[in-house]
Amino acid sequence: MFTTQGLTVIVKGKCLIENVSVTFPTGKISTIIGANGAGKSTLFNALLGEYKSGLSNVLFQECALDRWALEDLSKVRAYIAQGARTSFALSVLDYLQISAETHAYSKSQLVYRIAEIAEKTGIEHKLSDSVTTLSGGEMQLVEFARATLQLGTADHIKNCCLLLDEPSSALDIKQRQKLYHLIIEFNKQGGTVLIIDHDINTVANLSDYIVMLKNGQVLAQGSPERVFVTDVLDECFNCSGEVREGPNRHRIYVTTEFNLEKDNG
Amino acid sequence: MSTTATRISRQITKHELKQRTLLIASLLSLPVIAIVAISVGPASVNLLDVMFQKSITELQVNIITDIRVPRMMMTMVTGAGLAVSGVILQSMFKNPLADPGIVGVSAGSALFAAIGFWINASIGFAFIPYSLSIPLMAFFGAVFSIALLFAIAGESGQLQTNLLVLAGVAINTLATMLLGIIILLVDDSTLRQITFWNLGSYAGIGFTQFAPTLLVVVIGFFFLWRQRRALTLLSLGEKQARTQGIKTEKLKLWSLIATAAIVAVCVCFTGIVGFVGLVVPHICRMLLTSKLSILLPFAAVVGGGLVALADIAARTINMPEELPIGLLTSLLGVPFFIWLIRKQRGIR
Amino acid sequence: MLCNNKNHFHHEQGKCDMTIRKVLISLMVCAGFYSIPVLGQQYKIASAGGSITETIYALGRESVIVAVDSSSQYPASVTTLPQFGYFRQISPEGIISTGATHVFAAKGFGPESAVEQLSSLGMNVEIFDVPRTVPGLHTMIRQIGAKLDAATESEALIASIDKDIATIVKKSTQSRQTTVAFLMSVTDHGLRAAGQDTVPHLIFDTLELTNVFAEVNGFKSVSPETLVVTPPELIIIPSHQVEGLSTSDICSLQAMKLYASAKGCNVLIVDPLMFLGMTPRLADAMQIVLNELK
Repeated sequence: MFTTQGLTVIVKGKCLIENVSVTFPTGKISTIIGANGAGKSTLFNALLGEYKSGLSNVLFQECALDRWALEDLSKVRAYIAQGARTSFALSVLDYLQISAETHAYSKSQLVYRIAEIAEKTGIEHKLSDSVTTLSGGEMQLVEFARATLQLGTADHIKNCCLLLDEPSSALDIKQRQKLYHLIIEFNKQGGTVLIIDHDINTVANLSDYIVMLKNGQVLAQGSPERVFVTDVLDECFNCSGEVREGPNRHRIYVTTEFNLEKDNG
Repeated sequence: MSTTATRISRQITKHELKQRTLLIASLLSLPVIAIVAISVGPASVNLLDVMFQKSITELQVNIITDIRVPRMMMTMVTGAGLAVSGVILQSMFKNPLADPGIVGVSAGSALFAAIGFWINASIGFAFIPYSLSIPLMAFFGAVFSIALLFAIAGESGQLQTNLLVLAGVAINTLATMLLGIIILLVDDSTLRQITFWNLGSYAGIGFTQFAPTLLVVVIGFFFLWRQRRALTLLSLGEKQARTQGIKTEKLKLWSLIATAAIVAVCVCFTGIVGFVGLVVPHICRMLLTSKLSILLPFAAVVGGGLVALADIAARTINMPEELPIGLLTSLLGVPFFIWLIRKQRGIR
Repeated sequence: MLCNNKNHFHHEQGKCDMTIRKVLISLMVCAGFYSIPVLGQQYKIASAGGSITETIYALGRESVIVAVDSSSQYPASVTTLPQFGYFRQISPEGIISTGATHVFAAKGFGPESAVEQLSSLGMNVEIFDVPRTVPGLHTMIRQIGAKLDAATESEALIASIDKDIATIVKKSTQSRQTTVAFLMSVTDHGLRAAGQDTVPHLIFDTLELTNVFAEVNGFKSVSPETLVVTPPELIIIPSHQVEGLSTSDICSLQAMKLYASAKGCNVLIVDPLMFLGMTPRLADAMQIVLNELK
């Protein structure tokens, strides 16, 4: 779905990512991981077309970003920012309605779509609340509903891509579960997903593809089996740990460098 | 599924009913305010006299047609213009405290108006009639400060919002400093003219001032109205808006130009009427919504009505003297605003 | 077109009035007295500016005044007349509502758009320059006198002002060595003093006193140090600036402290209209200054 070819981003003389060539496979969940400052958000922004110089080096559906019309792109590619917040009081319903207006729905279709997604995301009782009064978790679910509405109906989801920037950072365990389930369901319908997340133990297990960045360069990319291994993770995060088998045959990465047990003696 | 859908359509209907009711109610209040505005004033003549009484002098008719009518219309148009530009600037800057002052437009026109008074008092303008010199200068001041804003904050056609705010602060400070220098240079009588211009006044407004103001405000409003969805999305976050298909740079550029033109005509004939651009948008946001398809017309109507009401009060409280209009917009609007804030606080 | 017609109409009427008035006046002059009420029926004046109002009063034509602006405070009887706001910030309708036919205004009458509106509605607006020189005062009195058919009175008024000033100057025992200052405002934030081209400066100059702030032009913020370096024999402050403060309060302000301790608290509080407006009371103002210096 997304391909970068030798992408380099230089901002104010500082090279943020250098010669990055990655391919995010269509219909899969891909995760970008790396230490802070590795260039994850820069890569994300480049994929979103935020850097004018890099537009021709990013291909979306085999077509360079600078040849896409912004409006067409918005119907197939949605983005959920980290901790999205607004200062202005809009009801959740209004918020969803405005985003759904990308598509020419009739009024009854619109109501039906919003109802469907509100129920799926579990925000149907928040619709008349103002977006300024929601908790971080509720807002993230509203954002997910908003992004889904932006992309349109299920029948063309396989052409669509959803980018999530640290979606779980403000959520509790229960809310995370809810969100990850929504992401997986979106993927099962054929949608492509790109995630940046610090909770690598969770995302690695729901990902089909991992891109690992270090100092603005690709350290490794591929299936979790290939990338999510002790040596690579050690190098990526500059620490020493090991990959163990967690519950449900999930693989988790545990650092062994620090002994965090409190010595009360 | 169907229950939620029913609930949503019911909620939409309810909201639309409330929005429509308030919008229509406020719209209906405008003709009432207009009739009152035309009917009261220090000269004892009112609309009924003109319409039905035969023994009426030419002067009395002229008081209505040449003084009160254009003045009432001017208060409504400038009130609407200032409120709308406040709404747009708040959305653009994603800052609820933004108003026409934030980008330095008011300060720029105040400075140029002061320079105009200074030139009039010393060498005088060649070619420009005296009565047009100050409005023209104020207009150029507004345009000039916007151009300066782009020069400082813009880079190859891009406008960074946080830089815009800082550039606005810089322009405000620069204009205030230069105004201070002008004040040091001018004589006592020019100083007083500058002070009074800054207080704002609708005395002496005729159709010659009203017509260009109406034209610019209507064109500006029409442009902004067409961008209502894009501007709502912009107010929710720039990057987000771009991923939703909005060409934010172009949108910001043109909206800023439209807003600046509206503010420029609204302050150049009447001076600066404070408060309207900041508080009217908030009153409307609190009463209804921040959705621009509703907020824009509502703020225009409330802004126009409020300034017209304030002008009625300014003209009649201490007849035949006039009070500064800015004082009365605040006097009328602030208590209501405080009440709304208290109410909002209670909900949370 | 409409506008032109209107002006034309008023012009004609004005001419007609003039002729009638001339006939009446010549009759009355023959009879040896002026009947002001007759004049008053022709002219109803809204007087804008303290100097203008005082001059009309001094010419004995006060009965033509139907309303005044808020800067007209002298003589005391004007305060009973309807007021229409400050002369720099008038509302056209406010003036029309007073029933005036003419506006006699000092320069600065405005805002300009309101003045134009007044004229276009048929109000006769006469604007008089108020220069800060004695010949300028003469001109203003003569111009107002001419408009009110009071040429004789204005010459008499001018002569009496000139005579009074000459007498006062002649009797004066002061010389250029005597230093004085006029402070427009005295606060903890600093001083604003009267320099060149102000009425206080004219008063000092005519009396051959030295204004310590003669180097500045108009009313400007000045350094309190000047008061210590060249301490004036007398400091004059208009009363509206000192609301509620006594002379000793003023002298204890930071800006005045050093001066007062070196030279004593030589502060005179005066009527602002007399010292800031160009009025027929110019000679009285001079007398007040001299009395204080003695």
